[in-house]
Order: sequence, then C-alpha cells, then structure tokens
Amino acid sequence: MDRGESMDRVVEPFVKATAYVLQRMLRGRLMVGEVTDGVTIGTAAQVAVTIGLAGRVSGRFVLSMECTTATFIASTMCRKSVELAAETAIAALGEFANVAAGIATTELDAIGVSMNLTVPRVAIGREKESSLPGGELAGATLQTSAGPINIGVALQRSGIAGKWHEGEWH
Amino acid sequence: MLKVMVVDDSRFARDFAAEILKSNGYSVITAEDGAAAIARYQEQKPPVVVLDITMPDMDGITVLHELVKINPRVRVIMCTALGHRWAIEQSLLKGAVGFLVKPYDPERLVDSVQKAYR
Repeated sequence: MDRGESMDRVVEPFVKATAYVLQRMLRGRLMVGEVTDGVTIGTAAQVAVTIGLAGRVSGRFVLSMECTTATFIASTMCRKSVELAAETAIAALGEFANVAAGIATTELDAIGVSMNLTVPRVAIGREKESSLPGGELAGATLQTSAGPINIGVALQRSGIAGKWHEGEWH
Repeated sequence: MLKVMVVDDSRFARDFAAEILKSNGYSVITAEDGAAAIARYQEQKPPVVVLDITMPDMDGITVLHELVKINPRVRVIMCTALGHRWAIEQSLLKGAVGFLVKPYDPERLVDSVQKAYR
C-alpha cells in the first residue's frame, strides 16, 4: 500500500461522515473535495472544532470554517437564530463534530482501526491550531450552501510499539 | 402529563430532545450519564426513556439492561450516531422498542416517543 493510500483510508471516513451529517442537517447539495496530504488544519478559518483521537491511532479531527458558516450550522441545529459566542451555539458545533467523528470511528473500527474520542473543543479566532508534531496531516474541503468547511485529520500512532510513519503503522 | 427521560452525555443533545418533547406536551427529566439515569429512573420511573448508546463510563446498552431489570415494561428508544447493525441488534435483544440515528429530525423523535407510549 503506498503512503497516501493508507492515510486516505483513515481520513476518508471522517470526510464521508461529515458530509453525511451536513447533508442530513442542511438538506442541500454538497460538493466534496478530494482528500489531499499535508494540509495545515484550522489556521485559516475563524472557527475550529477539534476532537482528539486516542487509541491505536492518535491525533486530531478538526473541522474549520468561517464564522458565518459556523453560525449557520449552529442556528440550523438549534432551530433558531443563535449568536456564535452563545453557549448553545458552541455546544451545537461540538455535537456536530462529535456525531461525525462517532460515525467515522465506527467505520474505522470495522476495519480494525480503533480509536476513542475526546470531548469536542470549539475555538473561535484565527491562529488556533497548527499541526501535529511528528504526525501526518490530510484533509478535504466540503463546499456547502453555508460556505466551505475544511476537514482535517492529523494522525500519529501512539505508544512505544510503533508510530504512524510513511503512511503505515509500524 | 406523559413523562419521558432523556439520557445523553452531550448537553446539546439532551437539551435539544428535551425542548422538542416539552413543546409537544411531554414532561421531561434528563440524565447526563448511566449512573444518573439509573438513579433517576428508580426515583421517577418514567414509562419512556430516550437513551444514547455512546456514553463514557457506562454505555447505553448496559444502562438499558439495568433499566429493564428494574422495570421489564420500560419502553426504551436508543439513539446514537452509530447506525451499525450490531448496535441495533444488541439494543433490540436487550429490550429496546425503537432506534434513532443522530442527527435525527424533531418529528422523528416525537413519532418514536408516541409509538413507544402506545
């Protein structure tokens, strides 16, 4: 298996799950961009929702977007207009990422890649997240009616037995 | 007033379900984890429970098992983001009467609770 292929195998379920959740929520058409390596996650956009991944593979799942997109998603989930800084909006964005990550990790579990999820963390403002030292990054962009959403996954194999390296677990 | 207990570790999910059910005339109690759900169930014995599967410490399937031990006639609707067959099979084997896949529509929740009450 080449370097990109196995990384894609882990990243694609997150992209598909995020698209699925958005499609159910927004009931609109989405355009899913290709998964590309080496993205920097969460720096360009104004809002980042991060969930830590722990287990055989560790790392981060990050959804990043502009404030207007985040506000639209939070308002849709809350079924009323909400301010982005409101506790309800923050909780809604966290739940959005949590549901997507839950679906993705179930799919990964079925192919033997088990991971646990941390509680979602929502950050508003620029320069929030960067990279995962020593890890690999990949991601894709979803074009939605609410604006683009960047999906980033940073992976690093944990433990002393090995490491996510060159696209494979060693 | 018909009583429903909503159990979910996500505050958003709890509040969302509670708000929908209240606006449809139900009395709602909530619990944030399995232990609280069992304790509140023993105190108040709501006939219908909406129960998340994926929770830390005690998962929803274990909670379902405990609730059925307390009251074999409890009507439990399981909900999760994980729409996989094993979760549905385990829930039905342990006595659940319905299954909701997140994110669910408000109408779907109300419909499931109404059916559970019948």
